[in-house]
Amino acid sequence: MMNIFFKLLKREIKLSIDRISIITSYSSFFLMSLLIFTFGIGPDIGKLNELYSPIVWLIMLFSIILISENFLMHDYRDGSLRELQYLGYSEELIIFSKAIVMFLILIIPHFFLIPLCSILLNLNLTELISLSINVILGSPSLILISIISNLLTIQVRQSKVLQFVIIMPFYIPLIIFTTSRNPNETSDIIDLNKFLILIGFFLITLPIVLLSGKMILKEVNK
Amino acid sequence: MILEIISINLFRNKKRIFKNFNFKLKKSQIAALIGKNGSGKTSLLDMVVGLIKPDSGQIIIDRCDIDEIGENKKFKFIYLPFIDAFKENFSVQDNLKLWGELSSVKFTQKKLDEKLKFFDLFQLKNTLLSKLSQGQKKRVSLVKLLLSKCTLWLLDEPFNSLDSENMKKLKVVFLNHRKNGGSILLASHIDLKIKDTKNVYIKLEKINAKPKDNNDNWNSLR
Repeated sequence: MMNIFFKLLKREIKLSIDRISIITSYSSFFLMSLLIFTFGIGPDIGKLNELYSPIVWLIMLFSIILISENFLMHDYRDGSLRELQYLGYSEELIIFSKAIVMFLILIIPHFFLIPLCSILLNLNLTELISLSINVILGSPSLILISIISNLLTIQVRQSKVLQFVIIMPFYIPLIIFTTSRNPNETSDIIDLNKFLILIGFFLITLPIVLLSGKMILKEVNK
Repeated sequence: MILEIISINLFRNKKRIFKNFNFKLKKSQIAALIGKNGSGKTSLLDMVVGLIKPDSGQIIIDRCDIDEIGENKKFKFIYLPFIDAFKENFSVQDNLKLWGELSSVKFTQKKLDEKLKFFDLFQLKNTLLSKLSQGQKKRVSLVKLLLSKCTLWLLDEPFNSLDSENMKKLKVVFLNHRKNGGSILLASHIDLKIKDTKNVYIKLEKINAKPKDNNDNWNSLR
């Protein structure tokens, strides 16, 4: 089982090395949006500091929706998704390996994007750490939902509109928990409860996405 | 019997494609599914490899039900679908190596070069797939047959895009495979006139699949 999983993971990593352009387009989209928000809000440091979390998550949400297509739709169009299925790879492993590689690819740019956020949005060290943990714990669920969104698009024969209509409501609870701010929270204390909720959210999302993804992938070939 | 299709029924888009379809493929036998576009040839191959589940009936490959083979599918047969699962931004040899890893087909660089030479692709081995013509891509796909050790070959329109010289080569490959105890089930919209090949005619209009001769091995109904 592990051997099969590593084979799939190796394949995804190999393909991703070739998709290095994704990282650059993701980073440039992230950076441009961040600059738009910063200049749009103006030089009010207090306001920027208050809004940093929703700003970062909004940008992340849209950039993930934009780039997630590269991971599944391309494989569907060139027939490699079908190839994996008729070679006997289980659908759950296909989806899981894609999610891991997507997470790795997306998390790399954050090593320099989040420190940049802290400069532009005037974050102190505690807020910077909090935001980094928030992104690391929240993005896996975001990625999993985007995978289901793409699979649904394939199932309904590539209607992008449906992707948004059906999937958008599933993003909302995640966005609420990632962007919410505890009124008692001070900028020097990291809110651990929020992180536990994000871990819980991931643990709920993972089996749901794997099972529904498996069902969709089986239906796609019909 | 290497492949047995027992009383298959299949509906697609509210149309009956197969009604109690029976089919047997022996060792050292080539069978050609012949029918017009949309007659159900690809659907039949997709059912054989387990991509589509028939509404009723059973498919047995090498005495195992297709649903029970699971991850060992890649050792039981090789399937070349109409859409080759190639990555356009990978070179010819990288694509074949990627396929080899996924299919657990081990080969040396020397063996790969030898097989590429057979289909006049050696000079193109480092060329990106996106730079190749349809015929060249088809030949890259056919190299998989020479590298694989599977006895059952399932091929969807293998002669499409090939010139007459390469068609002759492929026919020789088929005959050699049969001589070595292998079996081939191929789908084509024209009669390929391969020596001693059993033709199975599939006609969607009559909602049936009927063999040309009355051989018991080809006893499809209606």
